[in-house]
Amino acid sequence: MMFDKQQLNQLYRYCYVLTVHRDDAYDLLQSALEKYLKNPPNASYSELHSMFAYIRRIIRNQFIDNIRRINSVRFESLDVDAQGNAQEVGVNYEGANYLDNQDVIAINSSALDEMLINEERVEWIWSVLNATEREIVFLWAVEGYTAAEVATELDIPRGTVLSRIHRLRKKINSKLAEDAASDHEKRERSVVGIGESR
Amino acid sequence: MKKPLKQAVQEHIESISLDEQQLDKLMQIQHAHDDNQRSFGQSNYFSANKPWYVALAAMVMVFVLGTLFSIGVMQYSQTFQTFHTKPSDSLIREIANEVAGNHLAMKPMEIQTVAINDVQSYFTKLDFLPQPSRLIEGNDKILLAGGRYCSIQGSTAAQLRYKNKQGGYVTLFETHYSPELFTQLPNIDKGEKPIVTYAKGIKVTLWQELGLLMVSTEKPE
Repeated sequence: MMFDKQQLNQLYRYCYVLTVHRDDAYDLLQSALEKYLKNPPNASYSELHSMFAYIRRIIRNQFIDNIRRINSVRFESLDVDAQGNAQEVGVNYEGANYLDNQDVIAINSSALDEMLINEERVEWIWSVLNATEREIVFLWAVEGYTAAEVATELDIPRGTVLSRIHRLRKKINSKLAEDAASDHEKRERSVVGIGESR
Repeated sequence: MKKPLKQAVQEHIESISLDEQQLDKLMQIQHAHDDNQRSFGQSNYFSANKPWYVALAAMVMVFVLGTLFSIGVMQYSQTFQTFHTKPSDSLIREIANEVAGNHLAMKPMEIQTVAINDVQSYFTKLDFLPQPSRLIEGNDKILLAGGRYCSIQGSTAAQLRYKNKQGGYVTLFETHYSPELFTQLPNIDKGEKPIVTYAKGIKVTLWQELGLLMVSTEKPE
């Protein structure tokens, strides 16, 4: 089965989310498409949804290979920041120990639904999050996946997805708070400046 | 103005799209593959009628093997050796299709330089040292432009890109030469002539040199 232009664009957007670079995203999509055509999915992948999952898996693996080749570092997961650097995964995300029970109850993808952000800040979000986190945000926001569906797509436990959502939400909030503080400081300075000039 | 994160991300991501040229190229790749599959399917008619032909093929094979044994072990081993040392047409076709596709893709170079030393220093992840080829370097009308990593039939390879004076490109693919993997390709160090074939409208030349498999691709003249 061939992908039409609209579907290619959909896949390109996914590549962009991983690479945060338009040329690299195109390069990644082309390599993955060639691999896909060489090894098409078997009968169990006949549904469009599954085919997308299949090619996204090829894209993800190709992305990890590319980063490995460029950086020559060992990867435990797709924890790569916007600059393509591996981040140290110091916490056991697979285990339930990472979060206490109360947190687990409180966190789900709706935690992200409540977040508000300035339109112009979206580009900035990509630079703050690593590839794993960007992928989760993409699957949730663009593909409309729930935490359980993200877990199935990425073949990881649901608890891991929840802990990552928790982490990325914290990261975005702390950056937004930093920004708000710095804006506030700037405003204060300008007010003082105006007062002094009077 | 503040928006829900989901909506803001959706709008941002949906504003990103491939340009028409990129879309056309990706569609072309799919069509080319589809055409190849179709022609392979037509030539491979027998596969659709498997059971009958498999039985016939098995009978023919038994007959051939019996005949070979009757001719004698010596002659059989010579036949076997000849069979193994001859370059496989299907493999050459596969390599040609793969490198022609890579040539047409013109993926961005990872290093841009005119110096072969720089290219050699760049490719640190290979288990061989990329070398300039006598077939390319002898041509003073083309200049090295850079290179990138790639693969040939699953083996990690170097892709060296040369630019000619007309602005066209010649791509030289190199990988560690393994006779088991690549069959006996002509060795220009022994004065043998390279194999020239065409794939996807691209001229593809294959040979071995300095213990490396080399394949060059360019637009036919």
